[in-house]
Order: sequence, then structure tokens, then C-alpha cells
Amino acid sequence: MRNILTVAFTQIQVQLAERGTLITLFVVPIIMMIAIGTFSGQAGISTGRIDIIQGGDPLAQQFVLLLRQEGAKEVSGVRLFEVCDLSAPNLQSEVCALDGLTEAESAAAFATARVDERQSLAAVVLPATFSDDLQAGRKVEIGLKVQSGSPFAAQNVQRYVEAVNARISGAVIAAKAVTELANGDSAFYAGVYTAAEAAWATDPVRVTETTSTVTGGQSGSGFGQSVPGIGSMFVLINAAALAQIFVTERQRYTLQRLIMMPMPRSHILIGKLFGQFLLCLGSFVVMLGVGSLLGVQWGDPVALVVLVILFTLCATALGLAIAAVARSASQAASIGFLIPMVMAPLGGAWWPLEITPQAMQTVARFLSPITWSQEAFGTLIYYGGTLTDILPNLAALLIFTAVFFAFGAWRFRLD
Amino acid sequence: MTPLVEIHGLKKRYAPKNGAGEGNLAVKGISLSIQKGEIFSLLGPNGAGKTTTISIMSGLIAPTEGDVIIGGHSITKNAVAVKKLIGVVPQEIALYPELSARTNLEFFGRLQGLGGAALAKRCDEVLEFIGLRDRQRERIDTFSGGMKRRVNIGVGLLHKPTLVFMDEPTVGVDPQSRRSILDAVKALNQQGMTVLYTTHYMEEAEELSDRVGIMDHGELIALGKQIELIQQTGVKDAIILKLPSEHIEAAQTLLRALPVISNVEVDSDHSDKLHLLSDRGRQALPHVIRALDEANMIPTAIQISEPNLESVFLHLTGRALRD
Ligand SMILES: Nc1ncnc2c1ncn2[C@@H]1O[C@H](COP(=O)(O)OP(=O)(O)O)[C@@H](O)[C@H]1O
Ligand SMILES: [Mg+2]
Repeated sequence: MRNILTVAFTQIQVQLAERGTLITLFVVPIIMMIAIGTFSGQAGISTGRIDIIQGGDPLAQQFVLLLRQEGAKEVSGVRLFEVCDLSAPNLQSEVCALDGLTEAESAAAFATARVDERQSLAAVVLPATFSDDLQAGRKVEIGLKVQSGSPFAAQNVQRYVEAVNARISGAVIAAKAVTELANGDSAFYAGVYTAAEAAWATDPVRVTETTSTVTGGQSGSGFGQSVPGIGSMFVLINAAALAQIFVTERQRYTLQRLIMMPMPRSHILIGKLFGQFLLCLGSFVVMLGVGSLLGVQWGDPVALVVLVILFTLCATALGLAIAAVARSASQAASIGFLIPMVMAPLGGAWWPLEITPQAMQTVARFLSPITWSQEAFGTLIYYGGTLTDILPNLAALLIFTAVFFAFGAWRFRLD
Repeated sequence: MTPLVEIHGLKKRYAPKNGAGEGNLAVKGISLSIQKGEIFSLLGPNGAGKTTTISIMSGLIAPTEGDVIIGGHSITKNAVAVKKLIGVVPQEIALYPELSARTNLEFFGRLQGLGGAALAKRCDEVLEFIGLRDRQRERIDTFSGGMKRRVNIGVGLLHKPTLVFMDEPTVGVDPQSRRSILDAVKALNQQGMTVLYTTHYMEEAEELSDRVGIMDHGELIALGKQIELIQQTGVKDAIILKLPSEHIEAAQTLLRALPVISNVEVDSDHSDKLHLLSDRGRQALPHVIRALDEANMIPTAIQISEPNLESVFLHLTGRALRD
């Protein structure tokens, strides 16, 4: 244990003594995350659209209104979503971009296509008989189509729609029940409905569950995407430096000298991995700290700590895997740069994954651990998720770590 | 008394380059032993297999066949126990250039099991010994070649090993540093350290060693005290003549015919030099001069050398030791 720590700390010391390493550890990533975060301020996590088609009846209008109120809530300075009422295209905001909605095309097909092309988060279709059905106590079918690529977003949209629906139908049911007792006085019904609906509005338990941990940020929208994205990319790059470290130490003969020390070879390997892990973790923490200064709110601290540690571990394992295949200094340098530079954009480190084609997103899930970490960061930053919400992401990162590590341990030779 | 080091039938075949064919057999079955308190030199030209032998003995690479027993522990079975006994001064400078001399010493000292006040004290002592106490805080990459060599040696001495391996520690240093390194080796030996020293400089082996092993092409071709080797091989005095190149061939034929001369060879590196062997060099010299004079060949330089390790090597291999 003592030897492992000695090797680890000296490894850190040697790297910190080199100006070049300091630059890739801190300077370049911080400049890049600020630059990209600033320029992509609006494009960062853009406000998603929810298209809605309705028959213009009073309860449907009410539905649109309530959903719109939900969407107007801001998290980290970004509206949750914009509601676009396709039944009145001329009255919608520019964000809805409904110019393409021609007469020839049915609104339903238009909305469906937008979801498929990932231009909107979801399409909601209320039946033309929405108000009547509800009031008559008939079964109401609300059509909801959500994007498939981002399960978390989809799940949230569903929750919002259901919440609004519950609020309206709950009020209807309450009003009906009370009115029946009062022998069907319609003015009385209207009064009760309004009271019941208002009661729902003040119910603190309802929709807040998905946003309660986040209190809207000031400016961080672009940074919430760029800081974890660029940060993770550089953690990969810095961890991949392990490959170069082994090659250089072999050339400098210090690796041979280490092997001649009275300790098992595994201690050298573990020490070097641990040293690199700590160094990458330190640099990641500094980058996230800069993110905080830029206004990013990281959400659940426990989830964040687990995510950051697990991602750094995954990066270190990748570094070992690269060290196992790189035979020369130039190979180590090029592979160690190329792999992070492919994994980063693929995994949504440079731009939100939502704007890339569906097929690419699917591929990215298998090829880039950043896909999972970036999604988890998004969950924590924008949706106020907790540890449970990012468990699937953590599991995926753990699998990547295990695969990289197993490959590295199998192929790597210290001598 | 059982020897401190026993090498048994040591062989090393390196993995073939590009995975094709048989790898280079760098060590071809060496056996020898080193007694406690000795300075033992492995003498041989570049590529003889000295570093390969030391690397196996240090636990850096595994032997293809055979074993090395040091202080009763086998390097193949209990490397860590062997490594605790030995200090290694590798042929290459094996230091972190970004770190100071002292930090390098402290790092390797810790890995050798030192710590706290004992480590600080040993670092002071070693820095004093290698004469770098006043520059201990400076980075290695600001040091001269000789200073780096000295730190490289210092790292091998930190834990006061019973046995120290020094692999060509004087390569590429100025004469002054070389002198101080040789003196240091003797001083360490006087303190009771057993030394395995490798070199391709005959003079160093001659000056330092109690016993010498001569290696060539992976084989141990001679082993013993210097005087024994000279007697065993029956090497003779050598007369070295320098002649204009155009006369070399004729002179060789001419001198071979002289009864006082037992052999004549052209130097393998200098085509204008002849090596003559004789039982008694001084007496033979006038005969040589007369014969050349009669043939109108005037030597530009003449030198008589009495038998030494160089002539033992020449006798055994037909080649000069030096490149
Ligand atoms: N890692 C290696 N792989 C293949 N061949 C090697 C390796 N190291 C040394 N050799 C070869 O083994 C032979 C002995 O080398 P070495 O032990 O370094 O000799 P010395 O130290 O006496 O100069 C040389 O022919 C050298 O080219
Ligand atoms: Mg050598």
C-alpha cells in the first residue's frame, strides 16, 4: 500500500513539474469550456417543443393553458418547454416554427413527423370531444408521442401531460360528483369546477417532484452543456496520457528501475493508475468548480460525486487499455488523442446529443462512455435528477470501465 | 563458505523481432559464483551480453534457462527477497529529469523500504558520497552527464545493499568523474560491499577486480584472477607495429617467417597496425627491426606490451577488446 501511494504521488509530482501537462490539465479545458459555453448559449440545451392538437373546446383550451404554465418554469435559466398549439398556428410563438404547417398536411401528421425528426419533444393529441367526454364521465384517450432517443426527457413530458390531465379530469370528476349531489345546477357546477381546479393548482405534491431540487439558475444554460462535456473530454485525454507515460518511462529506463525495486510488479501498475486517476479527478474537480463560477448548478451533490468518480475511473481504465496497445511514443500520443476526440462529439460533449440523428445516438451509447455521463450530467443539472435517476447511466459507465480494464489487464505488459 | 552469488547455466533468448524466426540468444549458458566481499568484473565488448546478465540478476527480465541464487534466494522464485539485497546501477541513466536529485533519491529510497528520519539521513550520506550535496535541490535535467551518472549510482546505494551491480558506470563521463567513480567503487568495497562491475575497459577491470569473467558473444570465455588468466592462456608479449598501409601485407609474410615470432595479425580496426606475439618481446624486437630494415620498410611507431587482460581477450578471440 505504501509503495502504491509512493508511486502514485511521484507520478503526479513528475507530471505537475511539466508545464505542458499543466496546460492540458487545466488551461486548455477551461478556455474551451468557456468559449464553447458562451457561443452556444442558446443552442446549449435548447428549450424543447411540445406540439399539441386540440378541438378548441373549453377544457382542451384549459389543458393547453396549464401545460404552457408548466413549460414556462425555468431551470438553470432555460424554459422547460414551449407548447405549440397546432390548432391555432398563427397565434403561436416563433419558437414553434409553424410556417411549414400547410393546409394540405394534417396537423397530426405534421406533429408526428416533427417528433420523429427530433424537432419536438412530444406530440399531444386531444380528442375533439375532450370536454364532452370528460364531463360525461366517458373514457378519454389522449394521444401522446414522445421522442424515443432521450428516455429521460420523454418520461418527463409524459409526467407533465399526465399531471395536467389529472388536474383537469380530477377537477371535472370532483365538480361532477358534487353537482350530482346538488341536482345538476350548472352554475353550481362551474363554481365547483373552478374551486377544485384551483385546489389542484395549490397542491404542493404534484409536479414539483421533478423540479423541486433545482432553483432556476442565472445564466448557465450553455455552460451546463459545455463544462461537463469539455471536462469529460479532457479527463479522457489526460487519462490516455498513461500510455505516453509508460512509453517514456520505458525509454528513460525509470520503469526498469521501478521493476528492480523490491515490490511486486502489480504495485507499480496500480500505483501509476491510481496516480493518474487522482490527477484526472483533481483536474475534473477544478473544471467543475469553474463551471460553478459560471453559474452551472450541479444538482444533487451525492449523485454528482458518484458520477464524477465513476467517470474518472472509466477514463483511467481506458488509459490502461490504450497503454496496452500503444507500442511507441507517437502511437501513444496519436491513439490517446484520437479516441477521446471521437468519443467526445459522439457522446454529446460538443453539442447536445438531442440534435444528432437517431442512429448516431444509438451507436454512441455503445461506443462512448461520454454519452452516458453527459446524459447523467444533464439529468442532474436540467431536470434536478437524483442518484436513482442516473443509476442506469452509472451502470453503463461501470460496464465500460470493466471492459476497458479487462482488456488493459489482459494485454498490458509492464516490461 | 557458500558464495553470495551463484549463477547456474544462465541462458537468455530474446523474443524475435517482428515475431519471425528465432530470437537472439544473448546469453548462452553462463555459470559462475561471486564471493562475499569481492569486486568481480564482467569484461567484454559491446553486445557480449553483460547487460542482459545483469538484467536477469536484477529481476528485470526472466532467464530462458538457468537460475541465479543470491543470498540463498532464487531470482526466478523469490525476486522480491533478492531485490532487497541488491542495489542496481543500470547502464542507462534511470532518473526522473523533472525532479531534483534529492527527490529522485527520496522516491527510490522509499520504494526500497526507507522512510522518515532514516531516509533523510541516508539521502544526506549518499549526496555527500557522490559529491552533490550542494546541488541536491536542482532538477536532474540541469545536470551534466557526469553528475547524472553520480546520482544514478547514488540511487543504487541508498539502502546499503549487501551487493551492488554496476553496469558500465563510467560510460560517457569525463576522466575526472571516471576517476572519482572508480575510487568510489573501491571505497564501497572497503566498507564491505560486494560489487559486480561490468565494463568494456580493460584498465578498469584490471584496477578494480579481485576476479574477472571475460564475456564474448554471450559466452563466458575466461574466469579467474587476472594473473591466472594470463598464465592459463599462455599469452605472450605483444609487439605492435605501425607501418605505411602499402607495406602491411608484405611485412606480415616477412615477420611470420621469423622464428622468434609466434603469430602476426593485422589489427581488426586499424589496417596499418600489426600485432606480433612473442614469448619474449624485448629480445625479439631487434630481429623484427632488422628484418624490416632489410626489406626497406620503416615502422612509424613501435610498442611492446606485456600480457594483460587485453592480450588474454585477443588470444581467446583473435579480436581487440576496444571498438
Ligand atoms: N531487448 C532486446 N531484444 C533483443 N535483443 C537484445 C535486447 N537487448 C539486447 N539485445 C541483444 O543481446 C546482445 C547482448 O546485449 P547486451 O546484454 O546489451 O550486451 P552488453 O551489455 O555486453 O553490451 C546484443 O546482441 C544485443 O543486440
Ligand atoms: Mg551493456
